[in-house]
Amino acid sequence: MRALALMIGPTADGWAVYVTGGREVTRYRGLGAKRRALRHVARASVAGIGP
Amino acid sequence: MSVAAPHSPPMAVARHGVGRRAATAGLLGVLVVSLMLGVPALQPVVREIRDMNPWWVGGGVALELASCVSYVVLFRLFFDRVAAPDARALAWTSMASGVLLPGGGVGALAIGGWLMHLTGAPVRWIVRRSSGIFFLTSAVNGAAIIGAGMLLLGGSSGPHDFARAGLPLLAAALITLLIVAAPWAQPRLGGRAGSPWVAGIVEGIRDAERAGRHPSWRLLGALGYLGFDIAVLWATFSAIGHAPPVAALMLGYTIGYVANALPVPGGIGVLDAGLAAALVLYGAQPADAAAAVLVYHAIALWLPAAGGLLAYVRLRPRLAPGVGDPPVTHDPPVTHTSNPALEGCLP
Repeated sequence: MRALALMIGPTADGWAVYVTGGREVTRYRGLGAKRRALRHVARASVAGIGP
Repeated sequence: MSVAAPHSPPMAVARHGVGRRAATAGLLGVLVVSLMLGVPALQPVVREIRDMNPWWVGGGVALELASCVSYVVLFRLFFDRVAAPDARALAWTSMASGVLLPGGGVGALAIGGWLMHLTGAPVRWIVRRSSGIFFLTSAVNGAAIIGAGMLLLGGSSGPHDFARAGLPLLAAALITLLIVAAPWAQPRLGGRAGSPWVAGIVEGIRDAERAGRHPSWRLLGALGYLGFDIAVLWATFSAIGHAPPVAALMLGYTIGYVANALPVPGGIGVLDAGLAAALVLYGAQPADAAAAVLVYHAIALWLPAAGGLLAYVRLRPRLAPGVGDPPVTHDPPVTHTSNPALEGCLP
């Protein structure tokens, strides 16, 4: 996967994972949502999953 | 998504430019060493370097590593919405650019921002976060000058006269006030208020202020980045056996670094001269200052440059298709203005 292809951003009730262009990939809610979203991005980066 | 093809020529030009500047920095380094060995008046400096305590020099290398790690910690405070491994690699690449290319810290952030722009992140967001880092580290520099000036005026070892203790303090306080007032003044001044660059910079100042008001352990990175780097200089002085007073060292360091604004690759020659002159102004012996500064600069140049090179090698194939790989597809242009990931500020 391209470096920095995914980023996280806040939503009303948690954090979402976005493609850098703006498309939402997934959403995390509740406690530790930001940590879980960042872990998603890190895993995708390491595993080469994504755009 | 593919956005790389239009960026490939600038990337190639920049790679060429970086290589040329690294070669220039290497040549300047050889010239400095030749000068030291060839000019009789510089022989005491060579003797001081030869007689340095290697344990202190090793300690200096460890402190420089701590300074680099501190920068990575701080970088991730502002660029906290991307994968940690990518943010770390970007931070190291930025640091290497800062020490190798003319422009220092601004150059470092410009290269980091440009690499992020290659991936599709919008310029305004990059400018905002980069200026946040810049102004936070500048605030720490200002606080260091003000603190050191107050220590000297308060009777700490070192020069106590107004020109060397009070004047830097006043100048740093004035510049800090002007920067803090910028977000307030910008909408009132109008004119270029609509420029995304100006808006991004002003938002960056607000981000830096907000970061300061919301304590995070990552803020320690801003202190460590400067503090450990000054400690490297203190270690190289200690390797000679004549460590200057801490307040005088802090002022000599921060004032001497102003010379780094001159556009010379790696700051070779200008940073050494600026730092050595400022430290002599604050009471160091000329031969001691020259030897300590040369060894400091060698450590502060090559450690981030080597780390940044490794990080860039790791990052480069993944920056975009066309960077290390042939271009594959050409998707339609993407507008980023509504990207929710890039709105807002520090959470």
